[in-house]
Amino acid sequence: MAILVNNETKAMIQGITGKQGMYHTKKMLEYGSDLVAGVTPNKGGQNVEGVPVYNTVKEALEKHPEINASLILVPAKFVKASATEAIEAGIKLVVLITEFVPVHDSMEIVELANENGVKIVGPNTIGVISPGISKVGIMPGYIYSKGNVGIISRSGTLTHEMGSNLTHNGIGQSTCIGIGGDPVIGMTHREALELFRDDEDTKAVVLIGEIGGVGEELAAQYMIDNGYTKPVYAFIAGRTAPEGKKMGHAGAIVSGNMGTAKSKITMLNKAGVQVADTLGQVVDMLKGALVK
Amino acid sequence: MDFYEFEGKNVFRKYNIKTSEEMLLTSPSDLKEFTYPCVVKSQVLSGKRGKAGGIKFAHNYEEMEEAVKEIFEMEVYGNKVDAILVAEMIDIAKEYYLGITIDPINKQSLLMFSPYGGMEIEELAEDEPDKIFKMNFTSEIDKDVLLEGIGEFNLDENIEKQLIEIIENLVILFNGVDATTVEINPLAVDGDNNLIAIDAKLVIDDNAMFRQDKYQLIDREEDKADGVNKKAKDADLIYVDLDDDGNIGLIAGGAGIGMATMDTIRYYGGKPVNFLDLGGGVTSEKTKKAMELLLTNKKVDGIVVNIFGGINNCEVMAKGIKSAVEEFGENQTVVVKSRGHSQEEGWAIYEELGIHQVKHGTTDDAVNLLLEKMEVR
Repeated sequence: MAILVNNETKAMIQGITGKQGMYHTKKMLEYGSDLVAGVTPNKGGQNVEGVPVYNTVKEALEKHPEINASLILVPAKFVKASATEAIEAGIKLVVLITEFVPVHDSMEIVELANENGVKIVGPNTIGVISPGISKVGIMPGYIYSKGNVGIISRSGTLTHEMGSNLTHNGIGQSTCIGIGGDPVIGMTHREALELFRDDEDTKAVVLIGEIGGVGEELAAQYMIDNGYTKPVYAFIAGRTAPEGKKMGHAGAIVSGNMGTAKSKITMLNKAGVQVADTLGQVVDMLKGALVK
Repeated sequence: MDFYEFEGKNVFRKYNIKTSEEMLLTSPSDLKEFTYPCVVKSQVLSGKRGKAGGIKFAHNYEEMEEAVKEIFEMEVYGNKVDAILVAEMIDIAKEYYLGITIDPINKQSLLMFSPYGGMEIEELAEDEPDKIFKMNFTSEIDKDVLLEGIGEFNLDENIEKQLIEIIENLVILFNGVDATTVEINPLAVDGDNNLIAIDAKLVIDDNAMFRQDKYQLIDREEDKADGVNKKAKDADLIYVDLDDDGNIGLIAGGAGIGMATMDTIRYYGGKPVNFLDLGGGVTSEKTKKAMELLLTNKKVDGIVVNIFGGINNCEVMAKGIKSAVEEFGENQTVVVKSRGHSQEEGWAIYEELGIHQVKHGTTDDAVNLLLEKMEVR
C-alpha cells in the first residue's frame, strides 16, 4: 500500500503560520491528507484552516499522539532546530522542504535521524505523495494519479513533469518521492529503491537523476549486488551541461570525472536499467512495459 | 564561496594553523622590501597555478618587482590576477597533504591525510589509494581512530604531534566556518622540523553565509560581471551562458527541469543560448525580469518557458511573462509549458496573449513545438 505516506499517515506542519505553511496547509487538506496539527513557536492557540497550532512539537504530540510525519517549512536557518525537535519527539518521517539548508546542518540532522531510526526526506525537496491517498509535500496533487509506478527524483520539477506526463498517458503512480537536490540528503535513490522493492503496489520504478554526486551510481551498484525484481527506467538530467558550472541545485555540478551523466548512465545500464534520452521517452518505455 | 589562498590563510592563522610570512599586494604599487628568496604567487581560484606560470621565485627586490609586474599582467587559466601573495621561501624537507571535505556517500565530513603531498589528491587517490588515510566524522573526530591511522605512517614523533594538533584545529575550523572543503597542499615539513601550511584552499558553504559573513573578502570576478550575467544575478536568477551560436532562450522553474530542457533542445537539434532557473518563491516581477533578459537578447529567436506551480504559482508567473512580452516582445517565438497550482488561470493569460502552449504534453512536445514554429517563421 504505497511507501512512506499512506492512509495511516497523520501529519503536522512545522512553520504552519508562515506564508508557505498556510498555503500548503490548505492544499494538503484539499488533497485529503490527514493533517492534524501545526507548530510555530509563540503562535500556540491559533489555527490555520481549522488545524490547531502549538508552540512546540512536544505540545502537539501531547494533544495528538497519533502524529507520525512532519513537514518542515521553516526558513533555512531554523531547519536544524525544527528537525531536531521532531526527531527527538519520536516522529518517524520528517520531510524537509526548505531550500538552502547549510550542509553541516544537514549532516547533523541525518546523523541524529539515523541514531533515532527516523527517515528524513530532503532537504530541498517537494516531499512525498502517494496519489489518491495522501501527500506530505508541496506538490500540486492533481497532476499525479493513483497507480503502480514509483517515482524517485532528486529534482522537484522533474517529479512534477514525470508524474503529470504519466498521468496524462493513463499511467498512475504508487508513490512519488522527491529526495532533494542537495549534496547531503536523508533518503537516497538507493534507499527509496529498497522501499519500492517490497511494496506490492509498485510494479515498476522511474528513477530520475541529474549530474553531480554519486547517488545514481550507488543505486545502480545496489541493483547489481542484490538484483532487482522490478523494472526500473531512468532519466538523467544535465547530460549536456558545461563542466564546472553550477546548474541551480547545489549538488548539480560536474568537476573532473565525478558525477558525470556518462558515469551514471553507464552504471545504470550495467544494472539492467533502460536510460531514456528524453523525458518523453520514459513514457513510451513504460507504456511498452505495462502493455507486456 | 571559494576563498583565495591569502583569505584562507587568514582563517588558518585564526585557528592556530601556522603559515609562512607573507605580504599581500592588490596592485604593483603595494610592493615593499621583503625577505629573500621569496615566492610570488598569483591569487586565483584555480589549482596548478605553477604550471600556468602563476608562481615565480625571486632572490632580490628587482626579481620580485619583475615577477609581480609579469603576474599582474597575465591571466591564469583565463582568470585575471587581482592580488598577489609574496611569501617567504620555506626550506621544504617533505610535503604532506591534509584536507577535509563533505562526503555525500556517508553523509559525513571526510578527513584525508597523506605524507605524499604536493600532487593532486584525486590523482594520488586513483593511483595509490593506500597512501591516503581517510576517516569520516561529524562534529567531533575520534582521536583514537585518528592516532591509529596516522600512526601507520611512522612519522617522526615531533612531526606527528604537530600534525595531530593541526588536524584537531582544522576540524574545529571546518565546522566553525561551515566549510565544504579545506585543503593544505602542501603541508610542509621545514628545515627546522616544523609543519607549515604553504598553500590554502577553503570553500565555505554559500547556504551558511548568513552566519559566516564576518570575513573581509576582496571583490569576486562574478561580482564584477557585466551585461546579462550581472542583471541575472541582481534579479536572483541562476543564469548560465550556453552555446555562443545558439538562438533558443530557456526559462525553467527549477534546476532539474532546466537541465532536462537544455538537453532536450540539443537532442532535437536546437541550440540553447542559456540556462535560466527561476528557483523557488517566484514573483511576477522576477519572472518578468527573466523573460526580459531573453527578449532583449538579440541572439534569441525563440524561447521555451518550462515551469511548474509547486512551490510557485502558475498565475503569478504568467502575469510576469505577459508583462515582459507586452513591454519587450518583438516577434520572438514563445512556447510555454506551465502546469501545477493555478494552471487554469495561467493558461488563460497565455491564451489571451496568443502564446503557443503545451498544456499536458511532455518537455519533448514543448521543445518540438518551438522548433517547428521557429522554422515556419
